[in-house]
Amino acid sequence: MEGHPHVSDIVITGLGLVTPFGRGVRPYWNGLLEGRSVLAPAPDFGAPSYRGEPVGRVPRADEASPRTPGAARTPRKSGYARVATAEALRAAGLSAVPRDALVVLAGQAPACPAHQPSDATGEASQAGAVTADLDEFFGPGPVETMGPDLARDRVVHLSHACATAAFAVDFARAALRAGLAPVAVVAGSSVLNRYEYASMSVVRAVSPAAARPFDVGRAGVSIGEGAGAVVLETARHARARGRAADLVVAGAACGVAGGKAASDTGLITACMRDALDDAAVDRVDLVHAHATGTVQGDAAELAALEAVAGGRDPLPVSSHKGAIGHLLHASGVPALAAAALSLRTGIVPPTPGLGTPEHTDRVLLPTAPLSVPTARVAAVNSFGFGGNNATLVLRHN
Amino acid sequence: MRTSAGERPDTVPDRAGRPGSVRCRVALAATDEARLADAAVTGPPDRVTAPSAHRTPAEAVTWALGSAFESLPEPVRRTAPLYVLSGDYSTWAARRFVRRCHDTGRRLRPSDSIGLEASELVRPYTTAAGHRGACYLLAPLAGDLFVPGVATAGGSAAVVLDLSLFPGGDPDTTGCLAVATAWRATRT
Repeated sequence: MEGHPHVSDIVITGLGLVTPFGRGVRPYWNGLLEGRSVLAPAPDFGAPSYRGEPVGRVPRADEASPRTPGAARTPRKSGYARVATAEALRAAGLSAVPRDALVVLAGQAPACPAHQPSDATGEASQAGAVTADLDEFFGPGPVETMGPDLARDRVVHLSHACATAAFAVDFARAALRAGLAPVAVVAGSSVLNRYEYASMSVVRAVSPAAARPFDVGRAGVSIGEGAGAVVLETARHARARGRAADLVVAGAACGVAGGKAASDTGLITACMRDALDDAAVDRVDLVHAHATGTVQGDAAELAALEAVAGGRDPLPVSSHKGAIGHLLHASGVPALAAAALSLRTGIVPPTPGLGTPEHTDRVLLPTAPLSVPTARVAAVNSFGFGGNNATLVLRHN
Repeated sequence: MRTSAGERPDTVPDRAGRPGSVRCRVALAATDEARLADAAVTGPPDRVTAPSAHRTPAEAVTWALGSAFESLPEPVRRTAPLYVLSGDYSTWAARRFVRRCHDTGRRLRPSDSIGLEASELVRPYTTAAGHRGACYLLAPLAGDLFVPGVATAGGSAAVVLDLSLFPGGDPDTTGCLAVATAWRATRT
């Protein structure tokens, strides 16, 4: 099976991103290759739990404008998702979301048409500000992201903490394999907001300095914002439209089990092995890790990677979260994009922020771009609170 | 109380319009006995378990999932995917977190952060049972009839858990009706 495309393979035909590097997959990839970090304090971010830590903000010039001139401002969360979706659709050669497509949105909770702020907070006097905050916590909104012609009965929202986007890609893959749609569009987004910042701060996950995944001096997560979108379809459908079908979502393991925190070596190892088994591959050539920069989480994942690495050469592993921060529910998409581009270009980017790597035996943590010209299989890890663990396996044909 | 389990057909067609998956067990559990009675699903005893009342939503979910998975053949019990229709719960949990962020009389706690996740309802069962199959926590934005079709099309069996919430006097707690339906593909 390995290396031989099959008509029933589910392939990625479009990717889109909005990140603190700006709009587009290309600026993000260039930033990773340069090992750049754009994490910095945000003096205008007024969340009560914010203490001036570095964060990854989308440049204001890259914010989405209203869908129609004069219309109400689109909440940033949905606006970023809309921009990322538009890029993914263009890359897939689609002018809009097809009416028969499955749409999978990734976020904490479905967007609410009416937030009832006074009910939510008991502080009616703050209603305007609270509504704006809620717009950045819930969603993204389906119509604001995908457009008014969206077939609402083809839309689902998934919520799996910081692993949501990876679960969403796997759910889309399952639906496409079941023949329930010819195309699926997955989109997720995250913007700095008081609630999600509080949720990370209260568990003492936020680093006072910029995140340094896998570094011996790492001290936690930096929160980022942005959006990601993925267009998936069967290889048969992609070829029929004249699109490349070179990037196969060959395997996945997405489960809920174990402890509340995302730092269980045994579960991560099992998750990666299950995904590789599902992909029917006997090796993995590179991994884009979850690696947020927490002491315990990175250590647990690194131990799992050491257990899974089995080739003659050390397994290259990197993370984007020292560059743009942790995009929470949407973070699986920049991870997937990095892995996809590594396979297409034969280059593993370094991990921005990584200066002194942890000791490893069978894993290689590059601090500069690494050439991997024969790499064909990549794994993407994505984990979250509440026992949410996901690994996706990509195969480049 | 409407329960989609009572309204769903016993079979879901495949892509060719033939029966693709068949409902093989429905298990109801709730935190409120009166709600359970309202939600009763009729059917033969081997297909519909006696409704069961529990103290907390997590306990109700654990019982319903145990009963539904138990009806599946042993070889697929640990690997059958689980689809959880948990949109209402996700929204409720997010609103509770928002309220707690604005509560000046109470410090936010780490457990509040974990409590945001709907996965906390199913994690006790999946962990205790050693479940290794996929699990999806999802909110169909309109209709949910396609879920069983997704559920069994990729394998031989699946469980769909439908969660309904009861508003209570205390906005920080909720009651819950959990309807777990085990589906088996008619052809594998």
